Amino acid sequence: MGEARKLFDVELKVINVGLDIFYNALQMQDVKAVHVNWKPAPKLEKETEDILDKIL
Amino acid sequence: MKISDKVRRVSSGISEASVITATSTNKGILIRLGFPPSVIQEAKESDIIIAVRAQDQSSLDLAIQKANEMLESPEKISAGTEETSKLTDLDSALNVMPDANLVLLSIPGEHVKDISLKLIERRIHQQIFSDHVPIEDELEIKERAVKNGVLILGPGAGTSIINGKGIGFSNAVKEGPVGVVAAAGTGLQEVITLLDHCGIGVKHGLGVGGSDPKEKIGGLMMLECIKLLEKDPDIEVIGIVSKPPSPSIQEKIIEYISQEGKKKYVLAFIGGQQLHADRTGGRIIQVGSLASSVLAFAKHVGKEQFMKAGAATRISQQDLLNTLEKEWIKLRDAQKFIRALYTGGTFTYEAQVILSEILPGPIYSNAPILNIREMASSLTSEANSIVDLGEEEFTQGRPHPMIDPTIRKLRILEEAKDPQVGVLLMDFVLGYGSHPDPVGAALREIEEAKEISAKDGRYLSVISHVCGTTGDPQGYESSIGKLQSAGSVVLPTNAIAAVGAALVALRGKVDLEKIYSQYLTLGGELEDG
Repeated sequence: MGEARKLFDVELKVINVGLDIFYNALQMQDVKAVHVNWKPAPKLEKETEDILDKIL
Repeated sequence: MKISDKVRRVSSGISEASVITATSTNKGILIRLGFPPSVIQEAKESDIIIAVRAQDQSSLDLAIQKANEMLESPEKISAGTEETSKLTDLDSALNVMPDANLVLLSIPGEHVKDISLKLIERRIHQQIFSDHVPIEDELEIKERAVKNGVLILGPGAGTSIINGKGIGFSNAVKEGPVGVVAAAGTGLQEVITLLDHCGIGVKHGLGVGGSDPKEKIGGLMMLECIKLLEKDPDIEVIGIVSKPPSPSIQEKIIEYISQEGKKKYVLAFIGGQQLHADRTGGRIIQVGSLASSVLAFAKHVGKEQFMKAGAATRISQQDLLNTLEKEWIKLRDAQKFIRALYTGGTFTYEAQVILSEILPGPIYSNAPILNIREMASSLTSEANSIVDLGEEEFTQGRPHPMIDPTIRKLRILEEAKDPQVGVLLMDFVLGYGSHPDPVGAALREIEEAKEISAKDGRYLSVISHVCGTTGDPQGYESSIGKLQSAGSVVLPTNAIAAVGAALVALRGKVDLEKIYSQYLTLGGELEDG
């Protein structure tokens, strides 16, 4: 966990993925942050997915 | 919720606006709000419902136009900056912020593993708020993270503090010599806010998620976090806040901190035993409630802080009796039940632990612990009921009640109609990430609930606890003031609020000596007064 220890020694830089209220909360505290309006990848039909699995 | 809020504000003629997915929970809520069941039931799961109640046609038209506009152009909804709101995937975000050192994930649980493992490869630490991450995924993520020196907070971790900065749901607390590892989100918020009231600061509060101290995960991140806090020279006291871990995990943790740990410890295993004559000459104190953990922290920090903690977290037995007698004398004989409507999961848990010690009759909950009965339906209370409104059945397709209070507002009114209900018990969680005014949002319903009871010739006692600090954006003192002016008794901790509710329901017939000794003191220290 040596790497993790470094997190306590440097300025926090956060990527917020999902709920934008958490991004707003970070901004209110002057934490450097970017927000991702995350959406799941469109779901392929099972059959198409199987074909793609075979050819890719 | 953001669209609903914006639509609601488009005209003063709009009294209710909900733009929500047509899940069965949401349809149920709209029907309870008075929208016609036949129309609502027509919507399919994949539909979005725009439900508006307006005083005139022009307000209604404006609202529907606004809702359509926002649904067609979602980018108009985000409060983010131009630059960030356009990002829709993690890779683009990593290009914008290549030196990011933490990713906060609040996405559906089924998608967490893929993203998390990629981030571990890039050595990026994570806080995962997402629920419903399969336990096998959690184990794989955490094992790989430990190998790679990556910190994983969660899954299911709503709250953390790193270097005094809150991540997720958190509070504005002073920075100081305390570090906490928590597997209980609102438990962490209760502890850090109460410490703040005592003038004790918190540097780190690391939420590891409720499953971490269970057998399957083996306390992997709890132990890693303890090791991290041991190495931080600014940390003097380390706290562990959790429901009691699996026995073998508890033993593993206690063995580590007894043998390898150098710092002072507070183990707050809610509902667990208080152990003072420990094997470490007072270096480790174990307590059974959130409130008594604050006394233990303060005891480690200094005498002055200990006295301050006594004043900030407690109310004497006599004062509590005097305050609540004014409530119970107004109740009718038939009003003997408590209905607890919680937004915080740890508060629900702590209330069950305490009330099961006090109340003679059966207690029901939708998130029952061992000696509590499971509710037949989470939507309908019976006898004494302790409801966690943050449980899955209430949050599918809609925001957590700490963000959107609608579901509790409806429930307050429903409970008030039951002539056997004497007490409503509630938590109000302030801080970053929470609703901008959780108390203000429920005030009208609290007043209306009292009116409903009064029209039926009854009095309804409302007992509340506000979890927050004077630095929180919602205003701690003003939140308490608003509740008091609406006729609620406001008590300083969740534990005391639960004891207070029992006192009212049982008309003062509670063995306060025993309960104070077990949950509100440190083995008799600060016993009363």
